[in-house]
Amino acid sequence: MLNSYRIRLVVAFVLVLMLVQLATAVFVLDAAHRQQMLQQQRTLDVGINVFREVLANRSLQLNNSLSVLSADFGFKRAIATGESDTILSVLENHGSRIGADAAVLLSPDGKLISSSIAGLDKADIDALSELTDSMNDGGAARILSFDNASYQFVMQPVKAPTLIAWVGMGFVMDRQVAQQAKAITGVEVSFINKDSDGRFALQSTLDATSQSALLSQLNRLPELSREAAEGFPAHYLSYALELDGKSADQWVVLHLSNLKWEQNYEHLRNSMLSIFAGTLALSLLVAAWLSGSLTRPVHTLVEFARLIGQGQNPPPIKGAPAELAVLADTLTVMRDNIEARERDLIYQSTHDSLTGLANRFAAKRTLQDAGDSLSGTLVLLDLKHFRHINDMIGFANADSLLVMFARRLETITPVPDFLARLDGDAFLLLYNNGITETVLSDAIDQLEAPFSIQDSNISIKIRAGMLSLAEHGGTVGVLLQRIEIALMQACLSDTRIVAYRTGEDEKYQRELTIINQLERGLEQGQFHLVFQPKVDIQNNLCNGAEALIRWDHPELGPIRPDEFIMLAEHTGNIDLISQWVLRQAMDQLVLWQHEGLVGLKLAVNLSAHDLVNESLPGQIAEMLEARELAPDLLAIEVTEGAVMKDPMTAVSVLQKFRNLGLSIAIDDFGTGHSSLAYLKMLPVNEVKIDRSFIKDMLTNTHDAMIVETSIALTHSLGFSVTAEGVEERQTIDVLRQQGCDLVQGYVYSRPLAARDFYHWYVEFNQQGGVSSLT
Amino acid sequence: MQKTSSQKNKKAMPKSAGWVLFTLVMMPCFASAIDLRLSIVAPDALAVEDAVVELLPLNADAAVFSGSQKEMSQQDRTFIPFVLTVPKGTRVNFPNLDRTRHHVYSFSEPKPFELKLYVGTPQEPVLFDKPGIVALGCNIHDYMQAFIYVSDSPHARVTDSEGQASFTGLPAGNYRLRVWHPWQNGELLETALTLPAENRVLKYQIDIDRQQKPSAPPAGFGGL
Repeated sequence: MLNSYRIRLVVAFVLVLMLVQLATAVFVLDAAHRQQMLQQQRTLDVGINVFREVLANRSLQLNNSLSVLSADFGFKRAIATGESDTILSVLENHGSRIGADAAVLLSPDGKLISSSIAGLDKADIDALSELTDSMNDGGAARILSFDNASYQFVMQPVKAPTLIAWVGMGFVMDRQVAQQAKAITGVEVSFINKDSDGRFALQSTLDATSQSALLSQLNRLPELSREAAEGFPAHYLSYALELDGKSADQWVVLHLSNLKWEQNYEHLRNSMLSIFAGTLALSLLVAAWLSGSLTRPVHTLVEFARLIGQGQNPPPIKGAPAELAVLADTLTVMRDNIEARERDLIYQSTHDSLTGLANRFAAKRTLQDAGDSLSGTLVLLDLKHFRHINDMIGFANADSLLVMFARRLETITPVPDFLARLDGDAFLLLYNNGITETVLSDAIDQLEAPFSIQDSNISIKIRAGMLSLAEHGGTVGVLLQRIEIALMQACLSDTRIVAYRTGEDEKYQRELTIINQLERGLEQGQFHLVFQPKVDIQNNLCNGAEALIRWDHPELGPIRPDEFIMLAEHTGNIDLISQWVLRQAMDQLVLWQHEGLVGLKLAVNLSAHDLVNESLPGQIAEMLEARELAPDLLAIEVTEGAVMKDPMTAVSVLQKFRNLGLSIAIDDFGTGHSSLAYLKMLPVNEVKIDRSFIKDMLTNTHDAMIVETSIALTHSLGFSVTAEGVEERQTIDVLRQQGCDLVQGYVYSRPLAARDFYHWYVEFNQQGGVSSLT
Repeated sequence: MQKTSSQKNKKAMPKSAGWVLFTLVMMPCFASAIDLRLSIVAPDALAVEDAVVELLPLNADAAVFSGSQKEMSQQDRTFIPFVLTVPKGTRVNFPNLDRTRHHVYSFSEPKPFELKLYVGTPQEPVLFDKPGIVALGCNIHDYMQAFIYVSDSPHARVTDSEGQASFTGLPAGNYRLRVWHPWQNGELLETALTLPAENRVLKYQIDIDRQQKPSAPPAGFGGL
């Protein structure tokens, strides 16, 4: 956790502290160093001054000694002899009296008379001669270099009583002198002499190691003469003086030991280091403790959040800072919300939102979970024609009805062990101990008791499929499919209860598929319309067509309209088909209007259910209006049987169609059991004689008579007559003779796709309808 | 020091008398015996005292003048006179007029000698028989200093405080003139001179480093 909050805090804290400490250390040590350096410099300056004083004193002393010597009568007398041996010996003798290391005698005009140093060259003599001049002026000693050694040289005149010679005495600057100087100045002293051959001679109070260190860096001498510096040798602050003030050949170097202050400095540094180390350690502890106290709540919160992340329910954090407490509370609320949402989701995924019963998913799972232990009887209930109830009482009321129905389901006797709403109006019941048809029928009686919705009583009919689990086991999918088959059978046969029997799967599989896929097929465009011309045989003109629906199922192939319409009627889906056909037909009409097929009247078939849907006329009116279609272009065809199912409502709905301006035809006339009295009441324009009478009318006189009578009767009621299913030309002639108005059938054309119909129509009407007859 | 300056003043006293003498010399002389006056000055035009002027006749044989005696006394720890000129062969006495003993010596080449610690006048005078300059000193008083100029010629004089030296009765002829002074810079002046000269007063210039004439410091160690 190097990137943790705590570590970062500690690191930042310690870094800042270290920076401050470092700055302090640098500043203090630097200041100490400067201070020490300054002090050393001063000490060395004092040493230098003292050394100069020492040198001057010595010079004075030597001068005095020599002046006493030069005044000695015996010395003068010996000098005055002019004998070189005598002079040399008196120089040596008297020189040793004052401890001189060298002695020379010069004539008053500066010529060398005698010397204890061998091999003096002209430069040396000149130097000595120069010294006599400075002595005349009361000058002090000079440092002269002879034979790779430095001498402090003094000269005195020898007067007898006039100047007869200059006597000079030299005192070598050796280690002993250095020691004496050191004793007085308190600093180490080194004499360095360089002869004309470049050889260096060192006389020093330093130890051997330091001396050799010194000899290795003699080139620093000029630099050291300008400013005192360190490292000559190590651990010394050194300053160089030119001894003779002229050449760079004779030096004295004064070394002030740095050792003591270096030790002080080291002591200071070590003290600071240990103090800093201590402070750092202490601050680390403090920082760790502080950051711990700062970050502990954060860690607690992190742990809290982690537990929440794992879906646990950690105890609330106590004693956390306000901000973190808020954060923790927020997390808790968030978790609670998520849990609630999750509960909702689970509930929604397993329950029907309307009734609160288990849904299909939950039902499947329940059955699945029961597995082998599943026993008893499954019952699937369906509200007959719920869609129409829906249309009649409105969605909101229908929903209320479903809810009330669900509540009632929960209280019927016997109470189901499991209850689910699979979809729409399909309810699944499970009786673990089984149920007989009789008991179930009693239960259904309870359920069919009228429901009071908005002060009106709604009665419902229920169909039920039963499945005995003991006899018909299988996967959940198979079980549901089988009970749906049983229910469908009940619907189709209009029986209250149908129990599933083995072997009915395959038989009803097609129906089940058609019923289940009808709605999707409509949505996916598997349906289309075809159009069969209706020809005015009196004028030999086509002025209308009947729209017929076709279904090309992707797996089952073309399905006969009779088949799927019958199934749709039984399962209450026929209104979907009617609505679709109405829309398609109107769209086609609009298209043909644009293509010039003006005045073409298109007829669509409605079912009995449509005739009890009192909202349908309003819907059709809206559709027409939306397409700006004239109502008289649309014709409605209804079967006699459909009208007869609920004649009162049917007549009322048909009247509304009429009022809209639609044409209405009675289809399949003659097949039903209606009385002519009803026909009289019906608001129709047209009657279509069923093909069964037309088919054999040329050979069957009864049929011919029925047709002729029907035409006459219809005409007498003021309706036009259409003959369906005409296949032969002679039939047309007969019908024309009998006064039939319109003919529809293969004799003119089979039902055609929209494009083909267009071409047929244009051709037929151009040729007067003659040549197109087959 | 006070004493020294007072002594100097005392010595300067005969100055006015000297100027009187000088005006006398300017008067005409006899033809056979020539009187000559020489005036020695420094480059600063001041008179040079204690300069030795020697006239060496070129056409006369060098003669030894024996028998004559001169004195170099010591009084107040000072040699008197500071410069003494004697013809070669002259004996010089060194009478000690002080109560302290003196140890007079010379290491000069013409006459090294030594008169060890003595009081009064030494028994024997010292004979200076070689020409040259003899520097005198006292071994126990280093500051005492004097010079004896031993001349070849009998005609040698020391200039007085006016820087003048007078010769009387000089025979006519060619001379070599030498001028020397203890403080002289460079070689001593030597020039040819024919007498009688146009002027009887001749003026010569020499270069000297003027110094204090040696005199005794105040008694006691402080003066050493």
